[in-house]
Amino acid sequence: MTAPAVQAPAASGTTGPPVLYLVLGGVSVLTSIGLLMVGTMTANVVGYLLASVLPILSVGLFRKVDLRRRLGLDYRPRPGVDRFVPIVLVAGVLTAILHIWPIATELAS
Amino acid sequence: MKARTARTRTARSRTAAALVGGLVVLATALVPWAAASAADSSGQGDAPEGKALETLSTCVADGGRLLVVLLVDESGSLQQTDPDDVRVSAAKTALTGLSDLATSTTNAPEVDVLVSAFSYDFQRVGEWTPLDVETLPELTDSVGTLAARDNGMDTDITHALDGAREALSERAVEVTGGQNGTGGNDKVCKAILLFTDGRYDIGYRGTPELVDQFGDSKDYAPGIVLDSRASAAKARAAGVKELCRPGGVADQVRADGISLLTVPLTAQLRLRDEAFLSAVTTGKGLRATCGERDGTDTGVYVPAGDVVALVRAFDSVATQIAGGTPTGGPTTLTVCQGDPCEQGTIEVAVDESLRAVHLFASLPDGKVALSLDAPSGGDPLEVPAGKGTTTTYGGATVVVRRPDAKALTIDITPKAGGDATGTWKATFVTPEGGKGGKAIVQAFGFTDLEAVLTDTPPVRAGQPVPLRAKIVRAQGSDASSIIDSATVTATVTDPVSGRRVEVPLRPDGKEYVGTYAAPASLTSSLVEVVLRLRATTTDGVALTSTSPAESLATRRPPGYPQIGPARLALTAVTGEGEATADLVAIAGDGPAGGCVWVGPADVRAAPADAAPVVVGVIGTGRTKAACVRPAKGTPLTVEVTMTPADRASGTVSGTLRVWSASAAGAPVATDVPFEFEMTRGVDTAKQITLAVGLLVAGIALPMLLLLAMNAVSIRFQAVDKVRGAVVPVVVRRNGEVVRVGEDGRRDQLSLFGSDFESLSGAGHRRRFTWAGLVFSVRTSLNPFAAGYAVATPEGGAADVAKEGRRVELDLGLAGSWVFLYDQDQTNAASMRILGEVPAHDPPPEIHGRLVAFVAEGPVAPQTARMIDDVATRLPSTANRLDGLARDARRG
Repeated sequence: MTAPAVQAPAASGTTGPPVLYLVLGGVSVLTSIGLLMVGTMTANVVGYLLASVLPILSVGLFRKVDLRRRLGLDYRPRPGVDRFVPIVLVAGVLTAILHIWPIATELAS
Repeated sequence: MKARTARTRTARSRTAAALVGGLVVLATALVPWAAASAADSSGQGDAPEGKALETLSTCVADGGRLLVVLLVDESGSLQQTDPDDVRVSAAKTALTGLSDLATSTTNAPEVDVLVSAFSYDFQRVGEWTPLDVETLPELTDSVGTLAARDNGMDTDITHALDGAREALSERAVEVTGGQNGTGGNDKVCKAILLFTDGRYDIGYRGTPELVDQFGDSKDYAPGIVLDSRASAAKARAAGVKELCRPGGVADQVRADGISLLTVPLTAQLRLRDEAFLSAVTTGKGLRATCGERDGTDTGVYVPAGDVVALVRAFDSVATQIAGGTPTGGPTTLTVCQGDPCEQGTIEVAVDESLRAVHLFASLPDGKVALSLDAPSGGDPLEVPAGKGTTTTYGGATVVVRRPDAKALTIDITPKAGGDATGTWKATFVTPEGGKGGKAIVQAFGFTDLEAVLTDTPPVRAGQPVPLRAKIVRAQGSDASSIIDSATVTATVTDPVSGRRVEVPLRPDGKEYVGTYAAPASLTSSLVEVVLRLRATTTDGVALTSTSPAESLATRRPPGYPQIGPARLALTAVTGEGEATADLVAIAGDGPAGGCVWVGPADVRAAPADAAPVVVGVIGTGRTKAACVRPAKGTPLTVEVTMTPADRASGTVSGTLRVWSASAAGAPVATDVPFEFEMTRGVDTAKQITLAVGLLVAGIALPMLLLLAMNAVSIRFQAVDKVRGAVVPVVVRRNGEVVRVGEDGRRDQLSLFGSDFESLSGAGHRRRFTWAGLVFSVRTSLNPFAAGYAVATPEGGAADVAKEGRRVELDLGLAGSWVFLYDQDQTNAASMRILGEVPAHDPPPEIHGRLVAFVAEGPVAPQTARMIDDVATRLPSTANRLDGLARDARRG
């Protein structure tokens, strides 16, 4: 009888974490914050999507790509990049809440 | 020409009205753009007159806070009808005019402005903003954004007016704290200034994008999908019906007391569309009606067919609301060429009875300059063509504006202590050799004089009521010294029956007296008295003025309890709830004092959703049998509640019948007018539910999306680009890993190129079978994690724990390895070395097979790295699998 066991890391050829995804998430949140100043329903809906959906998607993609790249021999970690992930997510959720309230108020009026 | 007539008001009246006048000024600015090509200086249509302006003017003069919605069309047709964005310039000019008027006097009422647009629906462009010099730039910027808004679908006037109406109701509740109608700072006056380019129109949504942007249905047309021209036409018909049906949107606007000023933006409006707009505004147009309520008290339709008439009309409207009056008809002048001349000059007399003079001139072209001469002499004030000015000249503040190239206004306001009395001359001059032509000038005058009641006598049904009035200046001082002759007329209105009675007041010393015969059928708790003055000053200036309405309370016959207040202002209703107010009953004369009870309410106006309004009473009964007697010397307080059926926005008004009875006489009815504001407010439960739902959706949806993306995109490295090797290995108890050759010889762990064979044909990129193992992809439940692969023995491995049956490896197969534990060989080795298979201790050797993957190409560089990793991690893996196998045996 045989049983399979563990694997070894795969080789790939990237050089570091995909910061671009994180930047995309951050820009999305900042844009959403800017839309708070506009105050219209449309701005709130767009801001809500920018603050909730895009940051999570971009962070998710960042994680996936980063994990894959970490398996490569040429991966060069960049300390500190990871700490921006919760910042982007928390800022996104908080900003989304600020958009959600006026949207809910408008719809409940 | 001399300014021979002028209309007077109190300072408050003038100031408040002036603000409203700003609306008109704003609209005036719009007119030239509307149909510049139609400019015709000879066109001098009748200015819009009527009760609507007086209604708004009286409201503002009575201390009301003016709420104005600028409602501007943003339909796509504006690209053809208003390519120069005239509507924007018009609205900006209006704002400026309103701001000037609101800040030009010391007793100016507050003005709140909401900039909005409409096409398929009502859209707020900004928030309600108190208008002053500081907020004017912000509001102007807000209006400026309308220039880019000309691609909307539909011209949905139903939604537009309903949205504006609701916005006004909400603001009214905000600024009054729910006490609208109580007078003073708690009173509001509502106005909508509607700019539209034409006909009510609903378009069909021909593309998914249009559906996304504008929706595919209308709430007033249930079941109709706007996917064809025919269905759009049906929806339009439904919209018109909703707008104009009895109790529809138009009626609700009128019932809310909203002054609607409609300005078409184009001169090419079809006759039937113009008639329709007129009907929406005033209730009646040419062969068209809209609503069952009379809109002439609230609506002003300013047709755009004649630009000059329209400009002049708006100026006239502004002036009337501001308290001015035309000094006769328009005067036609011949514009001077080169130098001032008599034919191009208009003279305006100013005396101490005049507060200000306003002139409006329509000009032949934009090259006409103004030369203004003050009675005090000196150099004239020269205003070049195309220019305006604000300056002090001749003892007065002079403001010259050009709302359009072919329009000019002059405002002369004498300064305190200045010497501005006398004859002013305004001359219109074009350059030598210029076109010349005609200028048409309309002059208006403003004065401080008005007639006021000297006392407020009680009114009793069936009895004569003495009315006494005097003529005063704005400050209340007696003005008889500057009056040569005057007539005063009182108009007494019963708000319940609507009956109006004209009562001429005859001179009696410095006062004017008359008698109002209150009808025996009078049931109203009050009558409203408006005084109209026609006077000639000692300088020969003729004046007319209309005073704000004053309420006179009616009294019940002796022996009956008296009811107060004369007008019931209930608290506002936000969302669901009830409006409340207190009635007070005072015991009548006589030993019994009488008793009171509250009858039904006659709700004359209410938002559709609010009906029926249920009346509740605490403190007395609803029938004669439940009648309550007020105690002598102690007023009886009766709490009245009115509960609407549902949430709504708008004004509820009507009369509440209160009965009183005495010991000897028959019951007497008193109809007390009431009013309260409603606003839908926010459904808190729905609000919180939506907020939570949106929050959860905002987090959960992207998570699910990530999982879906992972599931769809996960796959192996292309297997035909991968080679695999299966090498028997032994893990010794000391952790050393050695390779077992075909001849059983043991060597140092190594992998050679000849060990590997291609995986081509082993399967596809999501699942393949090789070396007795089934490899398949798996999506992680963590959406942020990468996917992985699972390798399971072909046919399963029943005698090992689940942990040992499945392993995870990276989807990039090249560089990965798997250890296949061989329990039979391991047990055989234990028997050979120890003579038994240890039940608890680790075996001396663990046998198995190393499955390794590399990419096509040179093998050595890939295996060098892999060998180190295998030597490091394989022993612990082998021991773990052996432990699992032993656990399975034992248990």
